[in-house]
Amino acid sequence: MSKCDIDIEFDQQDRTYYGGQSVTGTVHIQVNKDITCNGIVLTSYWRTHGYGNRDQGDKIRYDLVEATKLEAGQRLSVPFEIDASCWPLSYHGHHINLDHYVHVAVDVPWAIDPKQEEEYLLLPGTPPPEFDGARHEVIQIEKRAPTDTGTIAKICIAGAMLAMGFVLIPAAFIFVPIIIVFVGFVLGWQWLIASRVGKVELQVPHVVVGAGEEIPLGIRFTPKKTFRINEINAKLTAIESATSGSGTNSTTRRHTIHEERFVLLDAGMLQGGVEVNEEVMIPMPDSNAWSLSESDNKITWVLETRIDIPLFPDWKESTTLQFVPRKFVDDTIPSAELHEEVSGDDDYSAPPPPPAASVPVETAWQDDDYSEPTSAAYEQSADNGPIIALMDQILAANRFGNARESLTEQSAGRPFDLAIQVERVSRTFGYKGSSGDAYESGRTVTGTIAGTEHEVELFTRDESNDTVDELQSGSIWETQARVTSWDSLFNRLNLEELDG
Amino acid sequence: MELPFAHLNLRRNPFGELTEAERAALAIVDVSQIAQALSDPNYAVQFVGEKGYGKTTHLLSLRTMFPDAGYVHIPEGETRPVPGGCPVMIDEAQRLTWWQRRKLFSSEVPLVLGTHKDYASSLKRYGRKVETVYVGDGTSTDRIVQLLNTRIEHVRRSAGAIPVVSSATVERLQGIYGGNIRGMLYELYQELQNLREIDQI
Repeated sequence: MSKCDIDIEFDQQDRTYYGGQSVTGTVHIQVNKDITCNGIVLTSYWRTHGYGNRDQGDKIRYDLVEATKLEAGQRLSVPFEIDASCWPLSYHGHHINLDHYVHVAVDVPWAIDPKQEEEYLLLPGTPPPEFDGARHEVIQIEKRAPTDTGTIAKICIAGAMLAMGFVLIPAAFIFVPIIIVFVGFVLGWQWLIASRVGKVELQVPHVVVGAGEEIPLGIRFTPKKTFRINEINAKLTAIESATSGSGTNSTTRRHTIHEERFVLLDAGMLQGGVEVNEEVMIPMPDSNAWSLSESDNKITWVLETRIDIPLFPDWKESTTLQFVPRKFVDDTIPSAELHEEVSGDDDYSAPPPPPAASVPVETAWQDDDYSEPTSAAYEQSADNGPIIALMDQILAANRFGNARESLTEQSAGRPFDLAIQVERVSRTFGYKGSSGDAYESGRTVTGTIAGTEHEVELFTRDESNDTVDELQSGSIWETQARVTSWDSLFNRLNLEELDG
Repeated sequence: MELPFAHLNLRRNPFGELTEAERAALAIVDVSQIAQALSDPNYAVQFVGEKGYGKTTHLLSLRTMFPDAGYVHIPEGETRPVPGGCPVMIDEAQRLTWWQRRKLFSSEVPLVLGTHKDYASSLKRYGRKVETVYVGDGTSTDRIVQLLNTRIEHVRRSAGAIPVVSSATVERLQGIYGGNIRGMLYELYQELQNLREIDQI
């Protein structure tokens, strides 16, 4: 008979809790022998189980009872309350399972501690704080303890690498030609593909994706030659990958959770010099196989886009997606998209709500520390009225016809005052502009028209680089610009900065 | 969503990966005689066998009997320092460097080796009393049935019925995998994943 029997009882009968909620219950301890214990400790953590080696989250410790004497026959009932984490969520798959646990141990000195562990289910609740509305890059939410490498260790590593470098110099004579051949082959292969398809621009604006939502995918290129394609397609796959053992004893097994193919363009001839611009909305499945990236257990969602060319190497590019509960992206959805979702495109008729009513985007910038000017606080001198009116008109038009493009064409070249609230600044790549090469080495400013949620992309002139490079996210910049085109994938207006 | 494997009255798939402590606790290997022999500083035992046949399980089981033992597993393509302690246990001993092997074999501590390569003659040259255990050879059907059902019992959720692995299944698996326990475990892992109600496997 053990020294005591431990029973963990949850207040929720089905043991189902939501991220950020309090997990409550009672620990019942039936003492079978007299013992002096150093305390009763509860720990909570998540852990994987299944085919792969175990991955485990940080343990959070709660002291339930201080050091005490327990007498045989005594029965203790100790309530507990812990905060459920927001991530990762419970998952039961084929090779990978992830569960959250409450573990209780009676700390008995110089003896094996009586202990008990029970799992509970954690479903999507409060999104982790890292979700601030940005969806263009994978968000790191599985944090690890920083590795503390001491100074001496660093010196040793540097010394070892230096020594290895000297040893490897003779080997370089053998390996460098092999590497050159390999790199040459890869570059040759890429050149061969580029000689047909030219430069391909793949647009996946959202890599953080919610279950059950639709995400846009676009591909744009101008073939250098006329050639036949089997099709242009995109394949969405989700794979569990679990590693068991280590070294030569390790085995990694994969299990496909989801696989679906979407056709962007059917078989046919592509004409050299004629731009191909295809877009498709990819429906994400209603799955609970949330992205996971632990050392031995991974759930990976990938969107692979391919130009399938018969009897020729295919062009392809893979984009890793971060698949999360719909709630995580809906709660933080950028307002331009929210605006569309709320109003619906086809029957959109009302002008967009005033800035004060369309606040959600600003969540990331509402920190007390943040001191950049916001659109509300900023007193602009540029008259944004005409360009806002144009955007309202475009957004009111049907999304699925050519109406938006036609409206944009009617205003193409027309100068506008523009105060842009900057989201990011990047180098312009491969953009010639409508008048010479003034934009080729310039910058691309992505943001919103100040005081609204209307998204715009502004190509700035080379001579403005010094000014534009100083712009920070959230700041407002005033200039004059002309309309060039409507970007239907991102639902934004493309503009060029005017001279002077 | 339900608690994992609640429909089988289990907490998880018993044929999935175990922790080192669980492996040692659930091992069904008879190492008591070897444990006695390890009091002789000149004694060396080597567990020889292919991947997945149970070399590490034997070592981990012995390790639980010797709190002062020094244990190291040498990963592929890496070297590890030989630990102190008595006895010294080296898993994947074929990855020791020539110099480490020479120093270790000539030392005066009892040795336990898990290895793909037979070092009997080399150990004897250093005057060692050597015992070689070819793991997998003596694994009977009954022992494997016991091993598998112990694993299932270990993850029991509550009192009542749980799935059971039959002798017939183990005989079938032995026909496919021979003594490769890891191969059997993966097949059973898959079968249990697909089991919808408590039944004999």
